[in-house]
Amino acid sequence: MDAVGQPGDNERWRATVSKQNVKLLSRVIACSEKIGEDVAFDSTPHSYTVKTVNKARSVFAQFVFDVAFFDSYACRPGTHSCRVKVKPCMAVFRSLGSVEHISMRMNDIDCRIVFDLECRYGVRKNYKLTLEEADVIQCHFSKETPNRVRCQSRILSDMLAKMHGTDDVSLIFGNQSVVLKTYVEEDQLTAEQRQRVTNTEMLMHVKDFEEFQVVEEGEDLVVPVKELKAICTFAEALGQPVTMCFSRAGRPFIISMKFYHYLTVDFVLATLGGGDDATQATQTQTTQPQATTSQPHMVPQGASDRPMSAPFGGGTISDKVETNTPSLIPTPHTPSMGSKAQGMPSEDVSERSSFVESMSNVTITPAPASPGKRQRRNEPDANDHRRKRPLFVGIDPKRGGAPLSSESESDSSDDEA
Amino acid sequence: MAEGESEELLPGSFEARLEKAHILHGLLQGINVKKNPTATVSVRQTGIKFSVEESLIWQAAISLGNDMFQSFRSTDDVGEFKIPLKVFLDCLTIYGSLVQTLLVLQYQGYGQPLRLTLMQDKVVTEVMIRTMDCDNIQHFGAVFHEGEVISKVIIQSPPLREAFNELDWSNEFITILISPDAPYFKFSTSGASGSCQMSFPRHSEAFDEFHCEQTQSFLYKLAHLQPAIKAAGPLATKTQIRLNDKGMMCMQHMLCTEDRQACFVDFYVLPTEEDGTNIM
Repeated sequence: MDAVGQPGDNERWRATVSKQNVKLLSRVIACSEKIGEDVAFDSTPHSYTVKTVNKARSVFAQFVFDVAFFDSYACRPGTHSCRVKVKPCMAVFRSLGSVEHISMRMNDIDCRIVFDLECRYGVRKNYKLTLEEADVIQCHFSKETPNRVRCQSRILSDMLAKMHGTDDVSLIFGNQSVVLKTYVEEDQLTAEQRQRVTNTEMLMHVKDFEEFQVVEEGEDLVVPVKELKAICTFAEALGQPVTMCFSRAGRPFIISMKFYHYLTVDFVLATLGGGDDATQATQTQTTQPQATTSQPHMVPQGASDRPMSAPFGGGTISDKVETNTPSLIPTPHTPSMGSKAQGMPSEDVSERSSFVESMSNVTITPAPASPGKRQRRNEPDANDHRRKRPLFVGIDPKRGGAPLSSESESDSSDDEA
Repeated sequence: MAEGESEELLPGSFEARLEKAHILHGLLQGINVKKNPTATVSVRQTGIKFSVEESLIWQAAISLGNDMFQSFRSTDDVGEFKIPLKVFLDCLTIYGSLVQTLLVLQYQGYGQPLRLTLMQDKVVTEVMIRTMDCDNIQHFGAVFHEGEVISKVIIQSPPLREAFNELDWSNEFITILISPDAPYFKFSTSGASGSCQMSFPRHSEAFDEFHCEQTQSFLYKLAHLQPAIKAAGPLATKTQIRLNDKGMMCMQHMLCTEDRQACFVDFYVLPTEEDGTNIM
């Protein structure tokens, strides 16, 4: 791989991918398409990241490519972020059989990502995708959880294939086995729906796992099934084992995998909260914090992306987020925090509070939560047909917002909108 | 070809016999590109032509020479009539799509139904399809040849189909450019989510022939071209694209049957103006 050079004059970054590696990139895009509607490309001189979040903001996916993956790679210093709709991206990678060579770059002047494909018969295909105006997605999470298991993805996907008629599944990790079962919120159903519900439960034994370290057992981790299936399909295509890091209900559930040194993938799924005062974001864009804790909250200005250590052993940044919660329950679209809508990658990413820009996993479970008690959800938003779950602290992409701070009692709204 | 008549043919009638009805079925898929199409059947002594059109906009036609049939007899004044294509296709595969079915087509003249006799082993099915009048016959071919053909390109069908399938179909228009200079042969679409262009270089192996006297670039509705590409289907091996000076396009696909017989599907389509109206 050539040393990272400088891209052309009007470009922020430029990369070429060889025929063999194009398939991997197209799988990444295909997996992103099943999860979210938009995909963000972040490029730095050292890595290239593809990120997406689902609509309900309960699943975050991050694919980090090492620069060695590319045949050639050039990027201006700093982080350059942009976002496009994922469907046009899929069109680029649709028929790979005849693709010989693909090159991509980001144009400064006309705000587009350009893909140039050279194919069989000398055909040249050129796609210019317009950038979306949107905030920057980031999610801070830590894999330093007390519980960690690793297995081949096929095991999980075989099991998932049997789960029908459900939006969520719950994983219960014991110290010798894992139970996967359909999860249905009983009180959400009408009487007749309840009669037609099929509940499925399957058991995986610790023998099927390559690594199995479960310290806190018995927790019921409920995750969305559609995205989980997409994740397993992707993992199977990679053919590598998956590692799952998790702690308790309400905490993020992280699935990771690697493909040699080229690609590191992390999926962060929000689990249904446990504990009374865990909060929900019933609106996809806000948190409705209820608890008060004394933990330090906001990441100070200029904080970088390192995973935060948290008061609890398995902490993730959600701790930080949680603590921001003393505010009142905001009305549906109050931005809890937000970043300025961004069309172009900004150079001052690092200057903003990482809290502001982060969609941290919420599933806020502040300290005093009583274990095992399921959190009552708030009234479902009529606009979101899916049950709300504790999610990433929402950033209302349309409005800016100040970071939540412990001092403020209410979510302050836009100061940067 | 015509055999010794066992009976006189009535005026304006024809009779044809085909041993493998499924071949006809496969070929007719080339024009089965519209919902509920009505096919215009036009019979000459040289063969039969089936065509489907969207009035004033495009027309797809397939010509089957009389040598495709085991026997073919017709008078020279058989008119044109219309039949519902879906019904016809369904009848051809009434015993299943790959089963060897013997087909006899008979038509006794104007006003009479089209009669199909389908035999498989010892089972015989007889079908009478009511024929309809043909008015407003659009002679796209004639209109095309009124203009002067400026560009003619013969390209292998699979790469052409693939290139078309990769376009963003949510766009309304496609621009087709053929030129003696770079980029030679290019189609492009653009929309809110971005733009897409495909270009074939002149000396690409995909081309069998490339003639272009001057640069031409016309806008077509993607929805109109879709049947043209669908007409290629899996059987097409080569496609000839011709543009006349008005921008009318004739796309002709060469289909090869399993018996190694070639037949042609012609597709004529008119360009649109920038503001979306049709030329002509």
